[in-house]
Amino acid sequence: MTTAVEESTTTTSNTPLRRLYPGSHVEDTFQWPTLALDDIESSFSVQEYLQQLLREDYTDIQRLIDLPEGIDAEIWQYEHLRQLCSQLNYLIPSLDSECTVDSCPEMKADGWLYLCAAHPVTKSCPAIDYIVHTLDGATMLLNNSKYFPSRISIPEPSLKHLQAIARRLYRIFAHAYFHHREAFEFFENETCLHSRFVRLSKKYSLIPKSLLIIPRSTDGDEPSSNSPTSESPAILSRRSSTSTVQEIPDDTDTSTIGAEDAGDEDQGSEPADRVDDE
Amino acid sequence: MMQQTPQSSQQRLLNGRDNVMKDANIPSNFSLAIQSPEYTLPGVLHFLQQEWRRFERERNEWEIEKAEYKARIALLEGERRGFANLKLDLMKRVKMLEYALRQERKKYMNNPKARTIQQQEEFTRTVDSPNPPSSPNLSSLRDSQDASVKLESQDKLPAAFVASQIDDKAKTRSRELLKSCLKEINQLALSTSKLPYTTAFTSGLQNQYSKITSQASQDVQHDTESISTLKDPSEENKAAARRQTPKQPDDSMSTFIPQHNTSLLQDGKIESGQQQKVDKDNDIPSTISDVEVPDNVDEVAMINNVINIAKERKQRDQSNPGSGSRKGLSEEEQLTKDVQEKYSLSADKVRKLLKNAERLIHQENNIPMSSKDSLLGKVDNLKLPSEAEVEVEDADSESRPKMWRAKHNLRGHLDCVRSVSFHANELLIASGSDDGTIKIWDLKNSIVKDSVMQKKSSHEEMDPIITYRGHTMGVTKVEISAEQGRLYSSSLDSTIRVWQLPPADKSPYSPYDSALNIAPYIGHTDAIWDFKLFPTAIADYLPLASASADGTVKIWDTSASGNLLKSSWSYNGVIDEHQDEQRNLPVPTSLDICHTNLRQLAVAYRNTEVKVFDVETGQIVLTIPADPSADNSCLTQINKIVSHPTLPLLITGHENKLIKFYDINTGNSVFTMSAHLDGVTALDIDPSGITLVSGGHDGSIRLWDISSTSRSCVQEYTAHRRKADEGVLSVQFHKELPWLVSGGADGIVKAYHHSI
Repeated sequence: MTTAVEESTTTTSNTPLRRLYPGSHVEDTFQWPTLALDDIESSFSVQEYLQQLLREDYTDIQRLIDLPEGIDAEIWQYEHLRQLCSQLNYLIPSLDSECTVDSCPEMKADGWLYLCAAHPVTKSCPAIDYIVHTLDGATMLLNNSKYFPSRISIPEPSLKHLQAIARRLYRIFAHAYFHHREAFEFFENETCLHSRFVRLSKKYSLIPKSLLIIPRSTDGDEPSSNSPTSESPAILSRRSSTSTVQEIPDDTDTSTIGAEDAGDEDQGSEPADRVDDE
Repeated sequence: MMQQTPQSSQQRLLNGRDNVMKDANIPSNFSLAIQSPEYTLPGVLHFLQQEWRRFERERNEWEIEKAEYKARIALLEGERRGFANLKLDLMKRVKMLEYALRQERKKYMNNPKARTIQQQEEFTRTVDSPNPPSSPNLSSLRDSQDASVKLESQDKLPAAFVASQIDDKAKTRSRELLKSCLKEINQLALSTSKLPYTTAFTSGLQNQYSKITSQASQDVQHDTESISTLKDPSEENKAAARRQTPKQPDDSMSTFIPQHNTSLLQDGKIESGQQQKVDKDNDIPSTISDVEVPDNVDEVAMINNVINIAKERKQRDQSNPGSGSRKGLSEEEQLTKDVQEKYSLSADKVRKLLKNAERLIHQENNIPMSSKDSLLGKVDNLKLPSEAEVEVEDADSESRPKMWRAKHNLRGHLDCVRSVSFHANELLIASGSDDGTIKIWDLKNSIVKDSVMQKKSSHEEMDPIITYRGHTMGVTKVEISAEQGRLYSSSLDSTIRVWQLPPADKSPYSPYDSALNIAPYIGHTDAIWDFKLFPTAIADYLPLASASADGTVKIWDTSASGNLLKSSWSYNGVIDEHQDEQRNLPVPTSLDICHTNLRQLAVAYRNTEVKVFDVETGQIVLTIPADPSADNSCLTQINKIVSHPTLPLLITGHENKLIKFYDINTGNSVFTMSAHLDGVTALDIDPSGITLVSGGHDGSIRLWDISSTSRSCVQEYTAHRRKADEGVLSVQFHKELPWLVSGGADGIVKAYHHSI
């Protein structure tokens, strides 16, 4: 082991090392050399590569979501979702001043009411609780070595969790968009996170299109190939339905949101489909 | 002629049991009911059996008491004990009277007080050897008419025969009673899957008596065999048993009609299921005695368990080789079903339990009596493999005393963990990460779980008890203030934030409480890389010193709410107005409080200079000159500085793999060592001041014995996988407990335990 470490350190010693040095100015942090994916030799190569792409240009969404060569599509989605959760952590502070139990006693977005799945019995949480619980749960699930034991491949049964996570995380965007537009826009300008997420979800079918309730104008410059233009009227019709309650069935295991019950969760999308039809 | 003896005594026993069953329902009539069996029970065989039972009862008493201590359900236990005691009293009296009777008739067994286990064992052996214990049950007795017709001819004990005839009336009467009882029990057992324990127990108690009877014939066999004066009826009895037993599984499977034999069988199983559960919960070592003495199911029924049942079945199977396999199968199914129904356990669980029980029996057959103790160990192992594992682990760690062993891998961060910190007294860990969050982990919970459940839980996922979000960039340093119940964190976003620790009973998904976010310390204009809380107040406030890339070290008043910033020092001391200069001066990278003088603060700068400041005045007390080999770049900088808890010693960890020791009084370099294969990122010294721990970008953690002059490495292990070019980023000892925590680029927080 020691020799291996020695080798890796000697090979990289000529180029600037990709590490933070205590005392560095904040503008100097993460100014790391760009490496080709193949040259990143660590267990976290995909994550490093994605973060490297983000550092280079976080607005180039197409480049970010395109599947790099030699990487499983599932792993790419997984790393994107991890990155999404990681960055969503920075949205919470800007929300928690205005999104309180008083201002948003329920997790609502455009007429939808979302029930929090983090509890033994699904219940309606205040929006901020819902957001925090969902993010906590998604983070723990993504870190769960039982469902995601490796950063190189994802076991087949765990794939459904990716969709469950994506579907729930999307609601955070939805709530922010419809109830805290200013914070949403500010955050979106800084990160393009929502656009990236939506494009990713469409490309890899993480979220049924009928559940994407935020109008497309905020999705950024999306190529028409990715989303049929016929979607707009559907969005309008969805937006016109104001009192739909979406039931999110039980998440029995609080420690792993969506882990045990992604199957149940699928029912959650059914009411949505029905709404779509109306 | 002797054959009549078992038959009639069986009947009498049956009557006695029926009466007792009535008593179980109406305990107030207890003493009255006892009388009839007492006076009607004759026979050497029974004396022998009673002695047997007494031994067993005493064992059971002990076991029940043990169970009491362990049982969590006090009510159930109390009730159980009450019933058991009643029964024991009854049995005691019966036996005493019997004994007197027997003594008069035959001076046969003259050692009634032999109660030691040894004797019991010997006794068991003598009984065991002649008897392949088929356990014929009620059916054989119910149909005893047929058998007795055959056996009558051989009868040579007229007294017994007469007695059996006398008993007939009582027998039919109690049979009626029994029927109605069992009907009720069956309904209860069938209608509700979760039968209340009390009810279950009552039925169980009744079953005990039914079993006593069923067992009686068998025991009689043993007795006759071991008592040479009597003739051996066992062949006939066995034959009867064989004729009957094969029918039972079918009956029990096909119908729940409260016919005596079938219903009893079922109830017996349920009872055994209950006992199994209790056994599992309480770890009653009853299995030993039960297993050792398989014949006395009557007494054992009181603390019956799966092992016994399974064994009994097996033996029955053995004695009925023809029907054995089929019967065993169906019975097992039935047992599984009943147990499942009763406790709504998963099928797998029940199966496992049964398997264990069977294995035990297997083992037991091969283990001589003398190795009882070792068997006990094995039983425990089998029953609670998890505990055994823990024990093995403990033993393992004891054999290698001075080693740190990884106990917990805490996964919860999405990116590098840049800082970890222990609570001063409790097993709370705070971790700060590049993902912008701080998480609090409570090892205490997991440790309790660990000892109770299994070692495996350390590999299971553990949720943080809380996640703090508030920083807008990665977190660089966290520290828990035990006195204040607060958590401090610094970040690249140039703020220090203060958080209230969550209440101890907080659950992971409780409502979000924004009040936990107390206040940010705003004042730095660049990334904050290190800060330190002072352990004691200085000039009536509790200071916090922070080092930032803006070139300053700032002192904050953590106890105030208004003007937090107390002072600000640049590289040259107390700050002056020339802000332009500050930008080009060396930046502080790390700082620590001098433990030999708590008013002094040691600050390491990027150029490897170390300056010691007086906290109150901001005067530079001491400057340790820069290392001549250093080039003012980040490639040679000091990443971490710590001061020795007791000695005037400063220890610095350098990016160029070195660890250096400085005398804090003179400023001289005392010792230098190349410590890692890559930059040293993290240092800490254990509270006793003997062990230094260091972590590096090579991903390893090394422990050094700094009490010796050689400062040798005593342990080294790979702790964290590298991400980008970073490895271990933070290590810390617990201040009171033998725990160590580390955080690294792989986003995992690891906790290590050191068994002394």
